Amino acid sequence: MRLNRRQFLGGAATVAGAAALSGCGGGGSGGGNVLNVSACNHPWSNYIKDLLPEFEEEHDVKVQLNEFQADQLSTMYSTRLSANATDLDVMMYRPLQEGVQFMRNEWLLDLDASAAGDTAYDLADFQEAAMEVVKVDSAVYGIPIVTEREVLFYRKDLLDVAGISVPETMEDLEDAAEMLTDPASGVFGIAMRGQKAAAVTQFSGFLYSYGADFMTESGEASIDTPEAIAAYTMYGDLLRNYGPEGVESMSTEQINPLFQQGKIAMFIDAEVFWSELIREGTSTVAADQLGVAPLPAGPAGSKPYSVPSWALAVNAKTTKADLSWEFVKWATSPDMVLAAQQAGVSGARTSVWENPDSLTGIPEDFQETLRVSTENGVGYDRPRVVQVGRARDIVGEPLIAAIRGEDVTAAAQTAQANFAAFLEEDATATGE
Amino acid sequence: MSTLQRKSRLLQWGMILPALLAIVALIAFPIGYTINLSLTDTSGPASAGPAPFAGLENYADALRDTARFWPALGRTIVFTVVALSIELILGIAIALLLRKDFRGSMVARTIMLVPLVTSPVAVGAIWMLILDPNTGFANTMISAMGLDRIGFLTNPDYALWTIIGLDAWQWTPLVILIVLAGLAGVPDEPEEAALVDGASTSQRIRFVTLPMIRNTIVVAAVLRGIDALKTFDIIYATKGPGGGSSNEAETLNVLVYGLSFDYMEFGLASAILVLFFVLVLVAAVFVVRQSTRDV
Repeated sequence: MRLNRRQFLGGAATVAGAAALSGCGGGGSGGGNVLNVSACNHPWSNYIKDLLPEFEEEHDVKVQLNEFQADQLSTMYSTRLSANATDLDVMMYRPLQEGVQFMRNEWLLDLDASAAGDTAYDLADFQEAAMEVVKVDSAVYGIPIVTEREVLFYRKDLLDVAGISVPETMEDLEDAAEMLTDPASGVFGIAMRGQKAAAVTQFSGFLYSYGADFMTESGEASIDTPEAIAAYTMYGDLLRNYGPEGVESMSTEQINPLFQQGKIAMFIDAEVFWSELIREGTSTVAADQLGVAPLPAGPAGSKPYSVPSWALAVNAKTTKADLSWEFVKWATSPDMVLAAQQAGVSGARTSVWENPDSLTGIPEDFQETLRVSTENGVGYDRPRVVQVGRARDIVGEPLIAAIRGEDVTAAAQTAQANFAAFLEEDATATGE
Repeated sequence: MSTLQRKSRLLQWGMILPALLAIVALIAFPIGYTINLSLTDTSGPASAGPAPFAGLENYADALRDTARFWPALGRTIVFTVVALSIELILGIAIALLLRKDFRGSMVARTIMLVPLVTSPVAVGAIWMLILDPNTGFANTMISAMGLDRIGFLTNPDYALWTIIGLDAWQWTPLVILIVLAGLAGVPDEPEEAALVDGASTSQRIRFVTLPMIRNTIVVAAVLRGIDALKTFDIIYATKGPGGGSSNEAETLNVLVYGLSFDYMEFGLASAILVLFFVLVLVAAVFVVRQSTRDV
């Protein structure tokens, strides 16, 4: 068939129009029966990934799981949600990092009405402390999926060879780190995050254990107290003297591989990395070589953070509110949380924690550490403000000075002044 | 005005309207929006409604910020000047070597293009692996020679210089390519004449060849210079947010990114972007003026 000029132009216009229209769709696989779940590249996502077909079959929907690194995920949310994106449905987010901001911006859907009446789901089963960070008054903006505690990972075999016992105090920790550091065989005594903003959460346990905090109870900056300076100094000394090269640039993405290669004797971070550190095929460290212990005690005792680190929320602008809630409900149902916990990803359901079977998949010392840390833990691991990113950069400054062996007191005083000024601005932002 | 004139005037506007609309939508609007943002106290989502007008406060804040803004500006200039100098010198030198055909010259030219077509994020990732102070190949070699390991990218004193090196590794080929194209259009006679007159090789290059490809070099310098000023990807890929824990590799672009997406300070970030835009414009005009002065 030959087209005449008019037919050709008509066809071209249709094609162009269709292209233009599809371009307005907002990108991604917005159409069809697809539920978009945005998640962090995290053990929880690895766990849920394999179970998606179950949900897909039940609801006759395709779940598109998009994984990002934590910071990228955060950036993606703030750009897309600022632009009123409608094709983000379920969102895995950090209540302590972005929560206040997201709730203030009205980006999250109130799930209370959907959840409250459901007795089988039992919203009241979630730990109160964990719910506190996802709620404003009675509105529920997220359901906690992962709780994390700060623990000490150590290589049982290396401690045995050196003839030392598991460190129980900060002094023990420093001594052990010194004895375990062996440049000849390329083993470093201890590793912890050294990247300024990333390190702040791991440092929080040190701060609490030394009897200090980011802020006083009345909300004033308190990072230049003698206790805080002692905590900064200890964290910095450990890393400078016994940590891997270039630790200032390290977060878990860099430390995990080093640990897996057998180059780290002790590692303090969130318990959730346990399975990662001994993952078969990737790690040279065998499961029976890895010990887990509570954070060593400082002058104020052992006070690790114990936080609801991740939660699931629904985008307030989603076009699939009901289906999104169904997904959240499914992923956080008592059975699913129990199974996740058995796989090493601890949740926030009281009934699961009370269930003696919930920790069967993990070793005895790990189980005990989880119990102790949950009991002694502090419910936040970073300053509780709106602009958490900026706050982390400010309170992380003395940490870097400590790692570099510079004057910690001076750095803490400067940071204190900056933090106080920041808090004033931040309070205005919340309208408090 | 006659009907005919009016019609043709209408036709003229009709003809340029699509291009005009595209320019307004894609260039004028974003710039205007950024300038507008820079005059407000926007520190949250755009959907929250108009932010209070702040006048030039963001500009004043930026110019007063000796902790982040000025050091970042300094690093941006150092990065651009040093990287561009290395790329121009190496690029021209290698182009002169590759100018004449030799056995395997095609292979050499092809290999040379590899860094150019690699994504900067991949380049960053590869070099991070090679230069890693604990497990990287480079440091394994260095420590095998009995020397101390070097934190090429992790040591705050070396990071910026290392990234300049990576930028040069990736972008020198572009300069080579442009200069080779320029050399291809240069006739052989003037050089032969200089040779007959007894000029040495360096004299021939300096006084005969280079002046003939001067315009090409200017094009390469302007293209690469503006690009280098705006570098973001490789710095962010190798150093992460804030250009490292001590902000050791934070250029203006990295600073603006952090202010926008880590701090949500869109007003302040926009003000710095506008200042940055002016800087790029001034630099571009300066380079073009200087190099076309007496041509």
